[in-house]
Amino acid sequence: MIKFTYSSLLIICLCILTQCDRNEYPSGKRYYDAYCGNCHMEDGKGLSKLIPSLEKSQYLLNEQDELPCIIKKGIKSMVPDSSSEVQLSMPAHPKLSEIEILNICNYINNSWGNQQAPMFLIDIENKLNICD
Amino acid sequence: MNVKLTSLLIINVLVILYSCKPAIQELPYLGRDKIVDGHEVRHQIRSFNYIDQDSIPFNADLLKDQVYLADFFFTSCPSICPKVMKNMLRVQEKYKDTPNFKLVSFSLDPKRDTPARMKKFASSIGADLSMWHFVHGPKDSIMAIANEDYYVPAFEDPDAPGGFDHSGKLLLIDGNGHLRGFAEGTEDEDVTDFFKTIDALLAQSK
Repeated sequence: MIKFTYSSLLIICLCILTQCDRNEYPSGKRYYDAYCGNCHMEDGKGLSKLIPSLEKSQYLLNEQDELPCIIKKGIKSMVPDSSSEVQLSMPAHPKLSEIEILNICNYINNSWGNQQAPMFLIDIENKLNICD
Repeated sequence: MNVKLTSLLIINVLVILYSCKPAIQELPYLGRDKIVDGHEVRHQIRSFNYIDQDSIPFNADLLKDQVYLADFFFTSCPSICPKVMKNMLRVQEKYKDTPNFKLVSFSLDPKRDTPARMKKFASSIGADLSMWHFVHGPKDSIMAIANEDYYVPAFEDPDAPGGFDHSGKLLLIDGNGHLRGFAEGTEDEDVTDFFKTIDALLAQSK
């Protein structure tokens, strides 16, 4: 009986350990890879100053309310140096559905060291209703 | 008997040592040869006259006796370009102290990619403009040079992300304008292997 308890405990521990690195949003990863990964890269690190890193990103943390709008409508002049008239921008993704945006938000919010509470469909709908 | 055995051993060791010596890889000349006046002429990048990110003339003569890596891009490209640029930055980092080595990025979208816009783009990705040129020229001419000389398929396509469809190949050109190697700029491992090809051409060009 004791043996059985020990082996069960061991199996449970192993299961927990192997789950550690797993992101809980596999569909989010699929959409991210398809729509965001080309620029922000698979590792979320982006490209120098041109494409901002999403890894433990303060910007991402600050713009949680804007996130669905940014993904759907794109954003202009993301480059910190905006002194020049030239704008380099993030493209819009108008065809993405609310579900797809939800999955992407949850995936990037919980990858590469980011940890945010999950968003729900109602959050995305509300945020998209008040885009600038 | 012992002498024979010893000499045999020495010969074996010599053969092994010799075969271990890294041989410089002789790179092929790529592209279709042309027949001009009955003579075969090696494929060569044509002469061109464009401008760079500082609006300074940039022509083929400036690349004479330089080994360079070329790619085709546009600043608003949302598909393969960022990955290609990331790998161009790896090449820049590895060869930053190499004399007579350049990077050349031709824009396929001259309408939007003004020299000023390309300069801003270059600075935001961390390009070292002492070795890396961002080139602006007439669209038809750049398309022709891409497709016909560098063998990079590139064309306008309203359905493609950003309006242009093109390949992310990196092309290695020697000091006489001959195409000597290429890699997939979107594939990190392919670019890592490509460093050997670049090293070989630089060694031959000394």
